[in-house]
Amino acid sequence: MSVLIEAIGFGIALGAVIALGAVGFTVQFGISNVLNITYGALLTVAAYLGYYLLQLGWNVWVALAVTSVAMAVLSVIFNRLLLAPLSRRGTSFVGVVIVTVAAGIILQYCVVAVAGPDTVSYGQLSGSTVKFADLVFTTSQLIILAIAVVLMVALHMLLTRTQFGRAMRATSANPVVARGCGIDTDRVIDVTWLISGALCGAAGVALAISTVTFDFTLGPTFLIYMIAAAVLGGIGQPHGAMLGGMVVGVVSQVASAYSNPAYQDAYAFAVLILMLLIRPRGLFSAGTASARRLAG
Amino acid sequence: MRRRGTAFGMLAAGVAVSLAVAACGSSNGGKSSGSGSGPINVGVIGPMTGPAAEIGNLMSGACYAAVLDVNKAGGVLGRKLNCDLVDDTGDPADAVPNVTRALATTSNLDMAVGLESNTAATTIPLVNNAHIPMVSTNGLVAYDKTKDAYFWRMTPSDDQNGAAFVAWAQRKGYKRYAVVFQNNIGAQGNEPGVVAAVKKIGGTMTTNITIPGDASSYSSVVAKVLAGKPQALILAGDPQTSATFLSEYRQLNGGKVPPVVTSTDSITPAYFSAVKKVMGTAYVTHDMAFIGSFVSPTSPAFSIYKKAVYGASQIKDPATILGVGVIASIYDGINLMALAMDEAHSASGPVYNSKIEKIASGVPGAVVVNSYAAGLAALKAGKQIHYEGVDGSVTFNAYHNSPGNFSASGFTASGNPVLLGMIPGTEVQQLLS
Amino acid sequence: MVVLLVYLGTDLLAAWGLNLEFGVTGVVNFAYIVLVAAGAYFYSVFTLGSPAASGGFQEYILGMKLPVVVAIVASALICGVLGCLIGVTGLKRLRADYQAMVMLVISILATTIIGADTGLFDGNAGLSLVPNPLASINLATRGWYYVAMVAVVCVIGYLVLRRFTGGPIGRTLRAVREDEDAAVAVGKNIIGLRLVVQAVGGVYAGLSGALLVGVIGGWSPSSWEYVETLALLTAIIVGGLGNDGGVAIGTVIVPVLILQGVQFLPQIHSVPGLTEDLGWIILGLLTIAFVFLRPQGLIPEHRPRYGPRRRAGASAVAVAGGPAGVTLADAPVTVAGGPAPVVVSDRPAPADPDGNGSGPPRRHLAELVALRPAEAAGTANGPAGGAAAKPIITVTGMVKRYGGVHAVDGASFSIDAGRITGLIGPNGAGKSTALGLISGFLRLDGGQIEFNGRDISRLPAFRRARLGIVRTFQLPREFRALTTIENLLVAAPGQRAESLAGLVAGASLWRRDEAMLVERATGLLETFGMLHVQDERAGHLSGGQKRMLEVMRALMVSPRVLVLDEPMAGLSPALSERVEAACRELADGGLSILLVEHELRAVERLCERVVVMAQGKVISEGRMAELRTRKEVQDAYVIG
Repeated sequence: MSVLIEAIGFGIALGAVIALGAVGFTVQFGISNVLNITYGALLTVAAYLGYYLLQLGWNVWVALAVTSVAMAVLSVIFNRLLLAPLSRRGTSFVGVVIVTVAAGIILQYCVVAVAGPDTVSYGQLSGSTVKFADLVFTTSQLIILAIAVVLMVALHMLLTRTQFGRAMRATSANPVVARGCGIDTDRVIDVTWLISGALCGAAGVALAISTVTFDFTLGPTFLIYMIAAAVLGGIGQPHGAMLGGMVVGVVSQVASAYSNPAYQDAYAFAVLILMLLIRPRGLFSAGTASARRLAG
Repeated sequence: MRRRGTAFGMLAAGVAVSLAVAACGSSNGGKSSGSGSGPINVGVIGPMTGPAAEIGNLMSGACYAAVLDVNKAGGVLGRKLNCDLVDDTGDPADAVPNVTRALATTSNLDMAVGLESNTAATTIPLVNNAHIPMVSTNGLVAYDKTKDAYFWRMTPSDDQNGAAFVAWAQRKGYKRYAVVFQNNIGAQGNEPGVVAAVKKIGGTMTTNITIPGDASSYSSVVAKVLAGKPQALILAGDPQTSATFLSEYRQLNGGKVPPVVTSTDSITPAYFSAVKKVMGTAYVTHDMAFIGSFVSPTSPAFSIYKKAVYGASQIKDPATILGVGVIASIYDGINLMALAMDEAHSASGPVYNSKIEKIASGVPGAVVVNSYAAGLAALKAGKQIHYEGVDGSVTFNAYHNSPGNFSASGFTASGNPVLLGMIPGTEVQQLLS
Repeated sequence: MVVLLVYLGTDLLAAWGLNLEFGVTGVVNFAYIVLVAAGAYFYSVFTLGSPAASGGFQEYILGMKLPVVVAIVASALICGVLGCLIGVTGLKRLRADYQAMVMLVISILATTIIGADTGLFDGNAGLSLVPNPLASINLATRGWYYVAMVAVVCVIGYLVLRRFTGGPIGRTLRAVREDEDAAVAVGKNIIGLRLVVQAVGGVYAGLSGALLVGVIGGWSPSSWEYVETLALLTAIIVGGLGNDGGVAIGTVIVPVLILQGVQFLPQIHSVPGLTEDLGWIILGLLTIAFVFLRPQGLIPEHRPRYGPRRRAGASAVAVAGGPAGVTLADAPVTVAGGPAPVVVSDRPAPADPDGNGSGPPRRHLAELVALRPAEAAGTANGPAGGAAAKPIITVTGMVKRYGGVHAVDGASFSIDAGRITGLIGPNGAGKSTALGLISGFLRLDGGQIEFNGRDISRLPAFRRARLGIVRTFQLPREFRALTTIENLLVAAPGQRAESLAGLVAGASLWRRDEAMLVERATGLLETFGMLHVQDERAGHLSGGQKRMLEVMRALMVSPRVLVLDEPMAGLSPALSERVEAACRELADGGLSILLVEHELRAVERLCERVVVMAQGKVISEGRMAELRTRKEVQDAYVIG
């Protein structure tokens, strides 16, 4: 029993990292309808940015905040410079995917050119564990959980309690109608990319804390988990992505505790595919999906 | 995106083949040229780029050292020796076109070294079919009983290495082992040897687990391993995987981590820096043993080798090269093949191949030589020679294998390898019998 | 050189297969490389002997030592089946973006399982010592034989591919790519078509993998990661989406770009590997530049032209009495009794190239539409007859909910055979939903729909279209990349060229049918005054022309019930009149029409009976003139 509880705890810690990234990915997908593969490379950039700030002797929390802000700005620039022009030209879905892949490769090798191909590490943040009954967490895991909880609660408040959150959800559901209702959709899109970028920055740093050691392939490797989590929760659904991240994290850790760990990812992905066979639009998507149908 | 695209990588390499062929205007159909003029090329076939580039770097270093010595002694048959680096990228799909190209377009490619595990099964047949003698450092068990005539190996296969892990752990007094292997090629090759050896010595394997590489967390795996209360970790993984695993182990076990026994594949600067950052210098220098092919630092050949490694201008990290025993077999192999050419008076593979075994094992009455220069001088004096290199005396079996003895090494505080002890080959073979 | 050509050939096969799936049919299959890997894997385990016999250092299943030809064919076929299986994930009508992401995940899942499973795949080590198919040939010349073999497979592959990408089936597949819903609306079984295409794509992938692994001699899981699919997609987009030749060029060019990019860079020795990194950066920049500067690819997809000359020839065949002529001949029996054909064109028909009089006579619209005799007979009373018309579609208690909202809430009404039934109501009344339910585009949550007494509530949309219930869309959904006339041709029902027989026998089977269709399509275009744009891409037409095209395309399906969703919205008065006249003529010819329209005067002129909906319910029905006076109708319009 305690093995299970322990594994669930680890799964939640892992899920927190994935959820951070998945939420950033999903809000951005919801607003732009772009399968943004560059997101993986941006995660890497964030992890390295955090690394350099820590090298300067900065505190983890400050480094995290600065990285998030920097990534937020970078994301907006990325959208304005590359994706927005493509969508104005009506480039096909796959055409845009190819461009984001290309941009990802460029960023990734820029990182290599600057930081080199070897692994780097944030070092040991602290060495102790904290126990809650049967749950055991390492300090790093607690830091990650704290980051995730704070950001997720903040995002939840933003989405549900503010005027802007409503505008964002409206734009995500149907930009044309939203514009018609007097929403400044351009601004909403910019701010969404800011939020997505900030989450991407936080996720990159959290990922680096979690893996301890990483190299320039960090982001693309984990992007796939985030995509899985986002799809699991229903694309464009921040709350779904949070849950999806948890599911992916917990399933893989529990699977790894009870069976051959080499298959841990396979279990997580299999859950995704099973779920899609039952609910083709993800866990959280009933509302918008039918709304889209109506509009069509 | 971890992999650097292959479908097109392959094609790109293919285009390069055609351009190269067009440029040189010569394709000798993959046959060893043998009698030619100009420098003799040593094909160093290994991963020069990609995730395993570090191995390629070590291989080419050993080649530069050997070439330095051979050329200083006047070359082979009056011709200079030259290292020709052939990038197999560590991926068979890229290796095949790259090696094919090298075989087709490099003039006087008369000997080959390297051909490590990831690509060996696809590249060795190509080289063998081209009738080019090669000294391979691969660890594939398959080549324990090969019939390839041009294949020679002076280093152990992976399962023997695995058994040597256990031999060392046993010598250190550990009885309970947790076996944790990353699911990549080398690691999976070691596992059967470990399992067999643990059984043989009557030790306990508390866990035997395969983990995926580069995961963001191994907490659940660590919890499982911890539950078995192991005295030693037999761990094989890349630097990032090992660092993540060990760091989580330390956090979840109140700062304590049992000693690690692993392979000399990991005795690299990248591994040192990755693990040191999360585990601290004390752990890395005291609690990690790296098992591999034995190289005696006191043998006469070693001092010559060391001098060459420090003397070759192309080598940037001589200490690492000296510390990896497997790599010394490349230096030895080149000397051996060069001497075989001298004795056969030919650089043609089919002609000098048979001399390799003769010089390595020696015939009664042969003069023992420890360097190329000494060997060449003895040959010129009309004597039979027996080359005893850095790897010591080599006895090839019917399958052109000579596993030799094993070493255990550790890191110094500055990250350089240091010899901890020797494990006799016979002891290891016994564990597998 | 040998290796280059073999790789080129196998890449070509893979790129063609993916182009058929993605470029032509629009199936986004990010897991394509998995199929290539599977082809290579199955070839390996089929040709290898038992694990023990081949050295005992690797684990795998099967090890059947099959003859190589059998192994290649079997691997290709298995991949065809696997392609279908991957296609099944699309069966649930996953949105394209979901599919894309799921495919990515499947790709990774495959890599994970392969890496972890030593029993089946020998883990990350992969399989070695895979026999070369031409092992019996002497090594020195074997390479060129291999090239020849791959070349032969490529040539055959190309010829077979053309059967799918060219001709009417290629047109249909492209229609599926351009707009799935519109393709369903003209009766295309897109799920079936997709599965076929994915099976064929799978076979190409399998062949590619088998031939590749034959020359490499080893199967390594790391060679087949999802990036490879993206590289193939890049080649397709650079070469020219949907163009087999362009894709071939793209396959050659993309790697050359990589190579050249790196070659022209100075080697920077101080930082090892930097040059290579820059090479990748340049590749990325080139790809982006390509998508921006030449989005259509090097050689854009080209469409056949049906110029006037061609048409004249086609007419001759038709007049001579092709097989379809028999069907057409039946229609005029009733039409003859009706009023004289209305010339709906507001300008003289374009001059006949052969001179006046000698050209084929102007055809009745009903004839062009190939109205089916059954309906024609059903309207024996004639539209003028006051007797109650027989219903052709009866809707009872129809319900559609979205979450808690009842978009249609127990609506019941009928559509009269051979007449124009109007459906009006304020915004949000549920008209469009009702229309979607009748045509099968939305699933019914309750109630029943009967067509000629048969319950069709559960029939998928394309089957309803094949029965003759054909809808148009409120916002025109033309197949943008197809020409105007192709938009019509593609809609024709029961094309033999789309059948298996058509694929096997080739053009000889369908050339005549096609000529008949061209004749019908040109007739329609002429009637609606759009002959001059027949070879324009439909995406380039004006808004009004697109609307007309929408109606014409529906007519091309030979409908029995035409469901028009606001066909006149946004049309100029002249064009509106043309559509109105066409509706009238068609109804006179025996076609049943359900007209959803905001322009109430047109509804009044055209419809004898009008159904009024509000808030998901039918609130009234009758003649328009009466309805105007009814209070509930007035209220609905004022409040709604």
